[in-house]
Amino acid sequence: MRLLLVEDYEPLRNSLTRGLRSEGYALDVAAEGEEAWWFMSSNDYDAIILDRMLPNIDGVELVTRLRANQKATPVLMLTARDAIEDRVEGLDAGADDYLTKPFAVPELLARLRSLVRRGHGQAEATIHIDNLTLDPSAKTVKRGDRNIQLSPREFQLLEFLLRRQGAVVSRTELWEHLYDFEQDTVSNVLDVLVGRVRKKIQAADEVNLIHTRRGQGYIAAIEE
Amino acid sequence: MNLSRRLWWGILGSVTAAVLLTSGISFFAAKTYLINEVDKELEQRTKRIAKYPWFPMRYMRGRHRRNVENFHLLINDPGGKEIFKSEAWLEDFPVQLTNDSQAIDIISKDQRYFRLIQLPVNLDPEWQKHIADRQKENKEEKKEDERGGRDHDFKPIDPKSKVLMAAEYTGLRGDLNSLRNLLIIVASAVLVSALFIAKKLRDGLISPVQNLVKEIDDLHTHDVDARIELEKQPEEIEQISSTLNGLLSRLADNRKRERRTIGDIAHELRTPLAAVRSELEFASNAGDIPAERSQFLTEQINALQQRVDSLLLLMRLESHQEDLHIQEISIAELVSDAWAQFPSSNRALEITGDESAELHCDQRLMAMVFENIFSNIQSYAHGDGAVHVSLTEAADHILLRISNPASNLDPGHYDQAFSPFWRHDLARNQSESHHGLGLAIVERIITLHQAQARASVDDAHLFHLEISWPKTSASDER
Repeated sequence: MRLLLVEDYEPLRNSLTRGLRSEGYALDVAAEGEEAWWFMSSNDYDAIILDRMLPNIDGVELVTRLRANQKATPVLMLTARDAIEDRVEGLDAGADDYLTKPFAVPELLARLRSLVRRGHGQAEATIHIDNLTLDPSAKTVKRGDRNIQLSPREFQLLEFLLRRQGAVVSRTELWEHLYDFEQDTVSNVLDVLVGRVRKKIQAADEVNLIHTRRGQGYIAAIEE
Repeated sequence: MNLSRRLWWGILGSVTAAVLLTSGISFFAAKTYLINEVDKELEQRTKRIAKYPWFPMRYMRGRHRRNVENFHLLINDPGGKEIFKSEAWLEDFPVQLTNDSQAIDIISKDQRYFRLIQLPVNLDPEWQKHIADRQKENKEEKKEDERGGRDHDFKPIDPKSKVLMAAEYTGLRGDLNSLRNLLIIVASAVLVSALFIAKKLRDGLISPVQNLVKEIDDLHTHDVDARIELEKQPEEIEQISSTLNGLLSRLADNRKRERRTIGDIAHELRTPLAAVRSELEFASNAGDIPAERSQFLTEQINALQQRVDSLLLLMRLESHQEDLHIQEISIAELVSDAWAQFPSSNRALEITGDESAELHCDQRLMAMVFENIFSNIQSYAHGDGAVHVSLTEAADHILLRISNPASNLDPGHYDQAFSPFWRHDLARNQSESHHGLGLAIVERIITLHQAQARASVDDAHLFHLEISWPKTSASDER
């Protein structure tokens, strides 16, 4: 999952960057409003974490612009202001959720998962396909009785494909949602990653759940 | 007395005084002038008769002023014997007056009005000599006056004789009465008109002021963007409205500045806290920090966060930026729920009195009030005695009394206890979980609801906190 983090306070920005990347999220980071707007308007994110008080363009203005541009990306607004009217103003401007600083990290992660899930139009907290279950909250993958160990990046890949199961996901789309702006990787990394995930979730007697569509991308489905 | 009443009585009083004074003076002047005319005529004729008393009828007749209807004459010698009395002389008239030359009013039994004057005779010397000579001649010649039948004209008259003469002015009196009645009718009409005009004038002058007062009353205390409508107001009121709107604008600016300041303070304090907390939690999740140290740091961060939250809440309460969401809430439930926040307490909670009483209050803030009070009791009350909450419902307020075994507070500390950051422990021992903001927040929330709090300690060393809560909250009235 690719996120945009917009936070002007460097220590918090750095801490969240480290923490969220360690959770497997691809993360673009902006320190002020204009830079954030460039990221928002140029990329398609699974969720945006947006500080309210920012230099140049503040958070409320950014989310207003985003919605005016018909972008439905889920926005979690972070703010030190906890007055009801501040929260109402942020939500009315188009934010999907509101978290007051200082926040508990588990709560931030839970809200992000919830926003991403809703962003993909899903109600259930866990994702199923065939006999495979993926729990984004517990970061676990299980096929039948077998627990599958995935790296954070592999987990993100599988989660993204399963959230779009039945639909072809292009390489570009996958790339955009798994790798952030700063990561410069070679072109076959994605194929290697898919191959690794396919191998881990598929035992000898089990059906393949990730199929390759030549020239189009990948699809998560029980049968091709 | 309010402005409306002052204006009302001012206009009415002025008009009434003016009408009464004008009517009274007019009537008095007319009466004085006309009676004076009668007196002048009377005195003139009486003087002529006093000079020539031998020919009284000559001066009683003849043309006289319109206001005098007729004259009556009596001439007495010094012994009171009549020398002459006109036929119409009334028995009601006195035959002698104490003072000469001063006309007096006489009203006869048949309600006729007269002016009566008395003058001493002032015989003309030539005619006196002439009469004396004629008298002598008549005696000598023993013949009657050539004019015949008028020998009395020639009788000698004692120079000390008095002439009394009355002039009737009954008609004039009737005219004066008609004038008086007319003036009363006119004055009444003017007064009624004045009443009407005064009312209209008062309404015209006062209604813009009343409208202004209503506009001001309608302004919601927390709505700093509301302004007084300036349409169709008199110039003077418009100036007042403009000034008030200017003040409201400044108030709104101050509110916005305060709000921005509080927001900035919140940002400045909470953002570094958020950074520390997130770093700690991510590191802890990754197993980079031992659990014991992580717990210690988390507790310190939580304590700091609690102080920051309390401080910001206090600032918002003091600057009236905390919106009240007033509802009817059961006090007993609020108290019980707040008490449940202290499950490890070894004290008992007793609620007595009108347990069904309900407060008009903001539930979230009131829960905070009771939690802060109970938290203080848990920390500072002596022994393990019960906490007693009594509820008494009166006609216009609810009295809430929270009693607990007294702490070692001196009476002088009661007020200070509600001051921000006041600590009974002046050394501010950090081992205590309290930071001196809890009771200050309690006091501000109570004040914001327009309720009153009072603290005391009785002889049995029970500490009482009494809160008098209005049944209709200020927010409802607004």
